Amino acid sequence: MLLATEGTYPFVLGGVSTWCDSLVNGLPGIDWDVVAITAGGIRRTSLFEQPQQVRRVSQVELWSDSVVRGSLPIGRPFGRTTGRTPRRGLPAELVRGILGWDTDLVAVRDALVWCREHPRLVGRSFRARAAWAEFLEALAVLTADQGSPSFDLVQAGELYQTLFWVARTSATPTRPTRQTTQWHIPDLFLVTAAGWAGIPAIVDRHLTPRPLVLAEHGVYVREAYLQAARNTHLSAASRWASTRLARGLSRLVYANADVVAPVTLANAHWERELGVADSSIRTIYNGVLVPPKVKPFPRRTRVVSVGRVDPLKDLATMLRCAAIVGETHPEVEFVHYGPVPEGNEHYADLCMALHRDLRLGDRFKFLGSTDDPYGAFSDGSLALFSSISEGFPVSVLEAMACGRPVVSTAVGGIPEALSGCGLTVRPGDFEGLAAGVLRLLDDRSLLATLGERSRVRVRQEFGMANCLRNYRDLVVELTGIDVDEPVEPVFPSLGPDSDLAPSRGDHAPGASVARVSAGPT
Amino acid sequence: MSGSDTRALVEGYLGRPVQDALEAAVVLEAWGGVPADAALTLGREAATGAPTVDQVPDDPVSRSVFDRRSVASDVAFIVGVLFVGFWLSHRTDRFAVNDIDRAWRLALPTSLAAQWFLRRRVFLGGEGLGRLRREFRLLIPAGLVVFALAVVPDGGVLAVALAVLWIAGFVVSRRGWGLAYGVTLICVLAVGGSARTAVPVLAFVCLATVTLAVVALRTTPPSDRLPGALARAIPSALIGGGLALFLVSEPRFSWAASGLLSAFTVVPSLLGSLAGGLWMTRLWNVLPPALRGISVGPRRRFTGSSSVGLFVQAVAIVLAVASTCSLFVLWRSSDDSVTTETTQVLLIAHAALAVAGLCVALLETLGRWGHALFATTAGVAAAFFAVRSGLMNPHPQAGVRILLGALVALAVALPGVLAVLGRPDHRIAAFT
Repeated sequence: MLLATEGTYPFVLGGVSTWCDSLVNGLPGIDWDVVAITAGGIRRTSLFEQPQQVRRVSQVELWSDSVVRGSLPIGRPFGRTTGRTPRRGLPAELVRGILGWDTDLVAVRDALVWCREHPRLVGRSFRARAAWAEFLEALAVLTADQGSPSFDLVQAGELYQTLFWVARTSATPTRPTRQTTQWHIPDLFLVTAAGWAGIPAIVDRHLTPRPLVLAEHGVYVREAYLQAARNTHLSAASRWASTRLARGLSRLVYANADVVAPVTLANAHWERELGVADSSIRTIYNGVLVPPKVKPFPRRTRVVSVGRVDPLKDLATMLRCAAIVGETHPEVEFVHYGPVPEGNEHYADLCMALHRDLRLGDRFKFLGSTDDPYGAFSDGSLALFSSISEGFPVSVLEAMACGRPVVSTAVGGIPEALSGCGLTVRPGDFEGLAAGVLRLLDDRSLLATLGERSRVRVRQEFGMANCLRNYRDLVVELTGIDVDEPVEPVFPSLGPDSDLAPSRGDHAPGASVARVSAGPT
Repeated sequence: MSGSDTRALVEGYLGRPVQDALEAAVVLEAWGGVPADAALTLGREAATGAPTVDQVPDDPVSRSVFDRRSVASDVAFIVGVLFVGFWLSHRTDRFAVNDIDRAWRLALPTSLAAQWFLRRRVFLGGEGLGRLRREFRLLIPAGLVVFALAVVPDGGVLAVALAVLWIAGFVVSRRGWGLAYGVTLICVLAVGGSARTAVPVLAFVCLATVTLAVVALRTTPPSDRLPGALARAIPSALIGGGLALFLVSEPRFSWAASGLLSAFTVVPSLLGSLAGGLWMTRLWNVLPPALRGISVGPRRRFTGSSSVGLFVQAVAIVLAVASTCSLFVLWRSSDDSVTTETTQVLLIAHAALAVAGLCVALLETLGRWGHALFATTAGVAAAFFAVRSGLMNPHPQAGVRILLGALVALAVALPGVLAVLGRPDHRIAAFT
């Protein structure tokens, strides 16, 4: 299988990376080639220990002429003809096909396939003066509609370069060529985001008719729109270009995917809106490990949250919730675990400023990254989440698996996960979150009941074994190849007070986990 | 809630008109807590008849910063390099004239090729030394090539010394130590370079420069930034080496016998390359504002006047420096062993080469490296083979070969430069 990721596995820690790691470890009967789409022009090292079945990790670096060592270089002919004539209409075709509202997606796919077959001509096609002129005309027509912004030449140039990178990504081979001894066509393409990661897979799917599965955690287009909406400094043209690009790429991946596998039913609404047929949608929930034992509730009440410091997590709402709770329950401690990703430093500063303004002091602590989310949740009484956008967050499931009830905003798949086991409020409603926390703190029997119910629900519905088996069955169904039963990483045998738990990434102490065949849940 | 009410709600969150149905749905879902299916339906209604989005084409234009310290370091390094040549030409009492002459002809192309390679591979885009520290293996083949020069009889070892000085010194200058290094180099050579001590002093200077380069690398934290592509760095090295081949292509001009002239004739050429890089920095400051606000619609008006104007300025600077150098050299030419007439031709040839070098460097920097390489190759071919093919007087005056090669290179490169600069919007867009 070819696993295509975008900005996540194996170079960045997070929910999607954890899911990928679980999948490649849990399905050892499959050989994996990983293609990671990255950006930033920096050298990256894998944060995950690759099991034997991961045969190759290659990297496609965007926005840079640097070739990452170990990657397959662009420009090597891919079996077919390489031709000699540049396709001067290529940029115009891409801008019309990807950024238009209702467009011929087959034509766009064919253009991307041409790029793979003529990798050396992609740059020449974009450098042709006629290509630029034709692109400008196409863009002018596209933005002549009511409601579309006007572009100036600088913005048009930036969009032109973006489309070049789309073409270049499609031209990049995702596996060794015939000249090498390792020639191998994947039996299935698995893509983790309906954006850049889908581009090479779409081309591969057409050239070597093999099924393509999109496992969508968030909704790519929704996240792009959210990011654009939050960025008030963007001009209308830049905002339009970034959101239309995300929409176009998503539609393209959706149209070429044999199966779209959202992690929650809530995402499926977006996928249908963008043209995915009901018959192609198969929801496969994320899975987590369930600790064999539950730690007793701590003596001091502690509210735990885990998530990166990011505007999507709306930590301001969490801080305000803590302030309200502190007015009547000053003994309650809030702790937040999560890294500050590159680029979010300003947001972290704003959170710290609000923390000072609300005079939270030691009642709310930012404790940075954790390698042991299970331990973090087990040390608390309940879990709190305030996101404005989510897929089907692993952190919520981990809290539930630890027997801790969750109070959260009702976004993405969270209501589906919590169904009957936690409390939800609308996004941004810090008073509602505080009321939920207070209700559980004041009613310890409800706290314990919801905690136990959460744990049972995760074990029955969202266990790792379920997730792995669903993917294994999907692979068998689409490829017709019998794949070994999945194996599930299990907790090391726990002592009475042991906090050992599976960790995210290979750098975690005690991260080695035994694997046994997953039994029925 | 009606569509217009929903739109008002969404626009209240956004603080601006809604772009389309999906944006409205995202806002309703993320900030309004509306479930996805309802948000998508309401979003469609909210976006119906939405007004034109705000027309604010004012994304900030990033401006390149002109690093005066870096330029001072580079200039000091070039002066130091030239002084080495000048000093060497006055050590004919210790080194054979032929050896010095051959050393120049070997070391100059090798060093410039290495410098252009390193510039394209690691020094463009910041954190150059940090990237070089990571990619220190790059220095191994460069070192092998340099030390392979030692096997060349009559001047090979001297060529190694010069190449080591010019390559390691380049690394030192990138650390920002060029000024101190250049001044120290001049002082050491001026004070300790008698006929008796010339060899140990040269060895000491080489060793010290290499040590400084190692220190410069060791005191720079390794960078995680990826190096530039080899596919771009190798042609770049060929172009740099090719430009140096022009300089050494004149057999009738002795680098050992010409004394001060040998050093000063190189100045305009080196300045041509340097000005190309500096000019490029200004180009990115000038072009985006010039293009900002020009609509992509059918009535757009292209303007390449600003970029062509910059190019003309750069040529003027090169010619002004070349003229100044020429006047100085002509004033001192009575001290040298070449005639005034020869000096004039040589200086004119080098001025032409400087302009050709500017064009070639510009094409290479703007991504037209194939064109740049072709222009360089054509010029070098003309310089080397014109006489041999019988097209010219078999015994031309010194400098005529260089002049011919430079003019050929210029003739090939100039249309490309003007074409690129005449359509700056296309160049910015296709700068890949």
